[in-house]
Amino acid sequence: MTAAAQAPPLLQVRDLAVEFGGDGGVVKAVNGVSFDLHRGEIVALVGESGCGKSVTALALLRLVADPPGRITAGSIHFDGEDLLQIPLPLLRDIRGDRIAMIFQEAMNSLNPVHRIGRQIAEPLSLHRAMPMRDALAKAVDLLRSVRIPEALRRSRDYPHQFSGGMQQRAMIAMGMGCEPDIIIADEPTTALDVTIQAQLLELLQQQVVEKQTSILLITHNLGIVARYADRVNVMYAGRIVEQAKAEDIYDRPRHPYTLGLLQSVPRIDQAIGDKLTPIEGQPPDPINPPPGCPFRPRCRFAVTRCDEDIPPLRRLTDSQSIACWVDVDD
Amino acid sequence: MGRFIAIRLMHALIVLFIVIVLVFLVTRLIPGDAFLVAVAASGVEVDSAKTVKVLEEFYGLNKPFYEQFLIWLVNFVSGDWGESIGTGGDVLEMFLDRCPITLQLFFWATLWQFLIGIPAGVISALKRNSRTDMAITTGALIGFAIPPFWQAIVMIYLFAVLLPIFPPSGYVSFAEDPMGNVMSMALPSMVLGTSGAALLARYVRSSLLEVMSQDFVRTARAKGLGERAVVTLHAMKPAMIPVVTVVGLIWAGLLGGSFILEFVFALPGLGRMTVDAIYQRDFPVIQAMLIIVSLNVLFMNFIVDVLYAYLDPRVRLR
Ligand SMILES: Nc1ncnc2c1ncn2[C@@H]1O[C@H](COP(=O)(O)OP(=O)(O)OP(=O)(O)O)[C@@H](O)[C@H]1O
Ligand SMILES: [Mg+2]
Repeated sequence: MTAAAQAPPLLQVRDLAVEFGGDGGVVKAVNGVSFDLHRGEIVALVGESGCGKSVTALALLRLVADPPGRITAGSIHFDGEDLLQIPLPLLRDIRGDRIAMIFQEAMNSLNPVHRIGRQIAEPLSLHRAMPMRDALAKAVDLLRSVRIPEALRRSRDYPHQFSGGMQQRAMIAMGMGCEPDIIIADEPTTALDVTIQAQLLELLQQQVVEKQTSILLITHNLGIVARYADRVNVMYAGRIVEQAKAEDIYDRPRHPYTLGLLQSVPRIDQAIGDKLTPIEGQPPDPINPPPGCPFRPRCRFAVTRCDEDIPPLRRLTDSQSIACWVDVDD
Repeated sequence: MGRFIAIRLMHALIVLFIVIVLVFLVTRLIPGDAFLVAVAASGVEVDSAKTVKVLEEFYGLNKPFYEQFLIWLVNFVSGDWGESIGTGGDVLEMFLDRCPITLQLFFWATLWQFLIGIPAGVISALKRNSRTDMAITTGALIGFAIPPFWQAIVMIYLFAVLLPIFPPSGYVSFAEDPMGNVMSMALPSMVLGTSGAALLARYVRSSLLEVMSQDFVRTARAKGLGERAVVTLHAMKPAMIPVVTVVGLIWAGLLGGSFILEFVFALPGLGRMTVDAIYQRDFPVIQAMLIIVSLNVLFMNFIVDVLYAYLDPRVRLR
C-alpha cells in the first residue's frame, strides 16, 4: 500500500456537497466531503444510518435523484477528469465499466421483469461490445464466482425467485463483470449470513489483489472494516469526522464520535463483563442543524468553542485527521 | 406460460357458461310480449290471447324451462341462432353481416388509442412539469370529459363540413372501395378511440413516472445506459403492467361506445342491430348480442391476462 500511497490517487473527492430540497426545507445530506482512493486499496466509509454514506456513493457517479437532490459543490477527479464536469455521454462510458456500483438494496435494485443473467450480461454487452450469447455465458461464470449454486439454471431466473442474499450476490456479480477500476460497494453483504459474507468480501479482496481494483466499501460493521479495509473514513451528519488507517482507528481513535462508535460494538479483546456504551442521543435534525459542531449535543468532550465553530478536518499525523477541536487521545 | 393460458381459458369457459344461463333467464324475465307487439303491429283483428297461445306452441315456449334452455343451447352452439322476430332473417347471418363493420371500428379505434395514448403518456412523463406535459395532460382531460356524441358532431363539422376530408357518415365496404372504406371509418374510430387514448395517456404517464423513480432504473443508469435505453429497455415494460388493466377496461367499453357512434355515423354495425332489436323485443337477436357482448368482455380479459403474464414474470410463474 505504501507504494500506492505515493502515486496520485485514482479517485480524489474534494468538498463534495449534496442537498435535497423538499417542502420541509433543504437537507444538506453531504456537506463538504473529501477523501482519496488509491489504486488497489479498500477504503471504508462508516457511520450511523442516515449520515449520508449512500448519497455520497451515488454522487460519485452523479446518480443522485434530481429532483429532489442536487450536487451543489465539489469535484471528483478520476483519471485526470472531474466527473462532476464532464458531459454525460463521457460519464456513461465510465459508469458500469470503469466505476461500478453495488447497491444497498438488491431487491429493489434489480429489474423485476428481466432475467438475472441478462441483467448481469448487460454491462458486458454495452461496454465490451460482447455478443449477447458470450455476455450471458460470462454472466453464468460470474454467478458461479459469487457462489450461486446451479448458476446456469439460476441465470434464467427472475429476481423474485432469488433469496435476498442471492439477489445481493447477483448485484455483486453485476458490478464485477467489466473488471472496473473502482467498485463502490454500498453495504454489499448486509443481508447475508456470516459465512457467505466472508466469502464475498474475500472475493472482492481477491479482485483488489489480482486486478488492482479499488473498493469504496460502505458499511456500518466495524468488524468488516477492521478485517478488510486499508483506510477508514468516519462520517457523521454529512461530514467526514475522522480519517485514518484501519488499524489506527481501533488502537487510537481520536474523534469522540469514533470512540463512541467503537465503544458501542463488542470487541474480541474485550473483557467479559465490560459494558457496551451506545452513543446517547440522536443525530441532529438535518434541516435545522445546530450551530457549531454537529456532534456537540452528544459529545462528552465538548468545550465552549464547539458551540460556535464547526471544526474543520485537521491533520494529526501523516495518516490520521479529525474534525474536532479536542483530541480524545490527549 | 402454456399452463397459465390453459387455466385462464378454463376460467373463461366457466364464466361464459354462467353468462349464457343468465342471459337465457334474463331475456325471459323482461316484461312485454313480443307476440302481442307483433300481433298488434300486424293490424289484423284476431283474438290475441288465442293467437299468442298458438304462437307459443309453435315456438316451443310452452315447454318446461330447462328443456327450452337445452334446445336453445344446442341450437346456438351448432350455429342455429334462430330467426329474428322483427325481420324474420337468420340471426347468425345478420350477425355475420354486421360484425365486420363493428370489428373494423374496433381495430381502428384501438390503433388510434395506442398510437396516440402511449407515446403521449411517455412524452408527458419524461418531460414532467414542462409545457408539453401540461398540454398533453390538459388535452387528455378534455378528450376524456367530452361525451362521444358531442365529439362526433364537432368532428363531422370540422373534418367533413368545414374541411371536407372525410365523409360525414355512411359506410363503404372494403371490397367495393378500399380507400373509401378507410375514409368512412376515420371519423367514427377516432371519436371511439379518443376517451381511451386520453385514459391511456394519463395512466402511462403516472405509471412511467412511478417506475422511473425506482431503484432498478438507477441501476440501469449506473451500468452506463443512455436515457433512451433506460426508458425502453428497463422502464417501459414494468410501467405497462398497471396500464394493461386499463386497456382491458377500455376494450370492454368499446362496444358500448360503438353502439352510439354507429347511430351518429349511420354505420350498419352490430350496435344499430342491437338497438333496433331492443325496440322490437326481438329476443333471438337480443340474446345473441348479450352473449356476444359477454364473449367480447371475456375475450378481452383473457388477452389482458396473457399480456399481464407476458409483462410480469411474478404473475406468470406463480
Ligand atoms: N431521495 C431523497 N430525498 C430526500 N432526502 C434524501 C433522499 N435520499 C437521501 N436523503 C437524505 O439524505 C440523508 C443521507 O441519506 P443516506 O441514504 O446517504 O444515508 P446512509 O448513510 O446511506 O444511511 P444507511 O446506513 O441507512 O444506508 C438522509 O437524511 C436522508 O433523509
Ligand atoms: Mg445507505
